[in-house]
Amino acid sequence: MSTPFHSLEGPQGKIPSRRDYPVPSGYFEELPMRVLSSIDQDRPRSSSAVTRPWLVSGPWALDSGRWAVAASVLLLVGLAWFWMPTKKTTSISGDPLLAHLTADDIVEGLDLHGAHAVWFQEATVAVWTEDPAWIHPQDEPVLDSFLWEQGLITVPDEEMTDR
Amino acid sequence: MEGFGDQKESDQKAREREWERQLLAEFAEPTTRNRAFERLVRHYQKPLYAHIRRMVLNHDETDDLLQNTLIRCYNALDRFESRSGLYTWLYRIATNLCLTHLEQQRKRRWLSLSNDTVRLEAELRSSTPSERMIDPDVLLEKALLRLPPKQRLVFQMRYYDEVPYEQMSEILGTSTGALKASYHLASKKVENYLKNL
Repeated sequence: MSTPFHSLEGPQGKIPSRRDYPVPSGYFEELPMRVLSSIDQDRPRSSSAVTRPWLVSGPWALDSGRWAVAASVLLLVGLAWFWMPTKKTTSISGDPLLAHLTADDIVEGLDLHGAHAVWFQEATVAVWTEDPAWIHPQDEPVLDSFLWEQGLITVPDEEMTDR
Repeated sequence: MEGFGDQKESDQKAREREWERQLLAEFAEPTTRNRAFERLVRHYQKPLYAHIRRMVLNHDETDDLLQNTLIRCYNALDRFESRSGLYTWLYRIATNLCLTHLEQQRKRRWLSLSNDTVRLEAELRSSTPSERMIDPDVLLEKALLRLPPKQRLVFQMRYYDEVPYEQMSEILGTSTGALKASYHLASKKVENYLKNL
């Protein structure tokens, strides 16, 4: 392959990649087991091996997630009853001034006050999803491509035909 | 002899595809799943390690990113559709994790007002014996630290691993024309830096 490093190329060709990155001894021998044990730890435990109390092991049993939901619902109902207002109040979302605004109006209004919508988006959208399409086109080759298409930069012929 | 070379290459690809097919079939069986995954890790761990380490330079960060890559692979391998080769897919996961990691570090450093290149040079020095700091491969690596992460990645994949542009395009989601231009620009920058040493 043609490279720009003719002056640094030795008799064996181009400068080789480093192969001597120091790693702790036995690192590669142990890595598969370390990864597999991390996966095992992350996996939900099998419930069959655990002795379960009568409350969650009989025919009326619910799994822990459902018990948590049931308890949360009860708690919310209790709190709602305790805090129930005796007189009806107007919530902010029911404000007639806001009710007719579109999302765009709100974003524009926030922008005018220096609060950029993208901050809210960054704050509220999950940073990572499990979507396997993880690769997103990055910015700089797009610029390179643009410059290249405009003829502002050139690539030598041998590179264009390489492979 | 070119025809013979092409034939050899396509035989090699066919063998790789067959190896992947068997591995995926073994992975699909719960009883042989972990054994298949262990085989996969042993097969790809060294090239993946080198790929990540060239980007982040530090062993601990490389180890975290490599483990993360492999865990994500394990969790998604069931849904792998073989539209690309297994290695291309792994490379893509590792690459994306590296870029995300470097971007997060850049943001963090922006807050602490320190500099990317300075930190990476420090990493390079700490992982290199002092007498090797003037060796051509280390000088080239030092030159590469001056490139933006994505351009550095393009250069490394092309120059060191000789990844074909079409495969790079699949991995990075960028057109081959843009990749060629990016590689060319990176080469020029590196060349200038090395000339002025």
